[in-house]
Amino acid sequence: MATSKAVRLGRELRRGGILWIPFVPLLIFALAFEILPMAYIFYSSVHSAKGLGLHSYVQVFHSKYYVISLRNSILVSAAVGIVGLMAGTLGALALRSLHESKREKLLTLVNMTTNFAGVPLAFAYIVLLGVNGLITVLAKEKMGLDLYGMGFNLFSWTGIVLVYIYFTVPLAFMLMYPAVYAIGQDIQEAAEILGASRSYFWRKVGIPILLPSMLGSFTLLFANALGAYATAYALTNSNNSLVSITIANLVTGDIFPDPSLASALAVIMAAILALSLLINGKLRRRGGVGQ
Amino acid sequence: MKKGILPKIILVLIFAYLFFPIAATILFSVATRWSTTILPEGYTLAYYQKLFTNPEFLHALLRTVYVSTVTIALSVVLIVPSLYLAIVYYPKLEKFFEFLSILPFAMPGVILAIGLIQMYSRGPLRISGTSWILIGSYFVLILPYVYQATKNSFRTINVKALTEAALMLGCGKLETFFKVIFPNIVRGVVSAALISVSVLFGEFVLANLLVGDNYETLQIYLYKLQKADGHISNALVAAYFLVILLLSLLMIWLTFRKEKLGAKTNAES
Repeated sequence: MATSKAVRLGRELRRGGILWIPFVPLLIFALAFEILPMAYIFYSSVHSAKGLGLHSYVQVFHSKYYVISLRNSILVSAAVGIVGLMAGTLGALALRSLHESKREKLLTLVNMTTNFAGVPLAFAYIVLLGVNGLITVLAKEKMGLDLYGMGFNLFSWTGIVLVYIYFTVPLAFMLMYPAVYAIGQDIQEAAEILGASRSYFWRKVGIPILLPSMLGSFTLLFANALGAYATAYALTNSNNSLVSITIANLVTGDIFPDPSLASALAVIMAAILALSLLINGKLRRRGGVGQ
Repeated sequence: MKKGILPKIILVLIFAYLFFPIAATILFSVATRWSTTILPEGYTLAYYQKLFTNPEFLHALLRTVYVSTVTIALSVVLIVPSLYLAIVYYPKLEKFFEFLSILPFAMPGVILAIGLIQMYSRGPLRISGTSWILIGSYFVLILPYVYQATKNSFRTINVKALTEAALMLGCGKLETFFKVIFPNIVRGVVSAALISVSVLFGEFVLANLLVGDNYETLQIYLYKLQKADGHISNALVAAYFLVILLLSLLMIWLTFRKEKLGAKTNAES
């Protein structure tokens, strides 16, 4: 059977003849706008004004400014990833207590809010928490709370973290829901019948089941925050040093354009992203719960 | 089903957190004056009227609609037939698609833009700053979504068996694709297109870095408007969110219809 199938497929292929033609334009587009640009970044990162070599990488790691912007990005993304993951996991767990039909509806609502990011999100937060924002003014007038007087500033790191958390929570919710769903009511009931207390169940069964998915989701949330650009750009007019903004400034900035340096930073960032995706893939294959 | 009020409290808190900024944005967009009261002092549609009669806004909207439409049409035409051929005739090529759809995750907008700017700012293909480069980069941006949705639709209809059946019954290859396969996956393609619309309407990074002022899209217009008139830009944010809401409802309706249709065919068989 198997051989006859293979023979038939082989004959089909030869008879297919020109069936490979639709791949040509696809390949051209993928090369022109996806694969070659990536390759070009590699090339450009080792090809600076000084000629071929690792000059740009050396420059990145010897400059306080670039190291700090890398560190800032990693710290912000990690913090945002942890907070978002906690909120999203709690939300997904809480959703288990509802009926199936209600669950689906609420999930689509959460999914919808994942689209609320970037420039519109930053502006919504400015309306709420800007210097003359609705909450800022209300708090001052009604409760005597002067937010900005107390050191809060939306157009600073506080604001960036606050807004980043907002777009991370629904994503974490969507990522954790399948894993949480895999801890069926039956497992929990079985444990309870066998005399496990609720906290004992979560300590010994629930959390261990969730842990691989939580780690995997964290890497995705981290990667998403690391690559983000529009939100921070709209909020701080590119005055803070996050690596995505630094990279963009190095290419478009009129002051010191240095494409080789920008490419080196981009390669470093892509390496971090690839690493977190790799970890996520490993965890998914090994943990495999609810994915 | 389960005791305890705690889950409900958590859900209420999270949904309040997620929807509060949206509700406030929409309310603020129709408020005449709203500073020291809990709710606005009066309501008006003047900001929307100003927005929708502004030719600059209409041009930006048209540009975004044009770029999105061309990109989505292009990616459907390029991806759907070749993915079909890969699944049915050249299974080894599926790995290639997998690679193409994973790569964008390691190169977000900023990184992609860095490469594109350097490649297309000089030489024979100087398309930096034109809508062409935007279309090309948007093609990469939505590729994972289009690929995933198309692959899922092909999987649900068991495309290989269906093709074999059609060919055995004497259908030509082109006829099989257009008359048998495509009508069965059109819903999946439409939902991929809808996701792509919501992604592309919200896209700022590539537009800002690749074309900027040369080709002002909706998000770039929004970014500039904020500096000129906060209240009108807020109306645009609210309108943007209402469009996203509409698209989501459309998608829910599509999946709901698919389920109903599925139930019906199951009942018949």
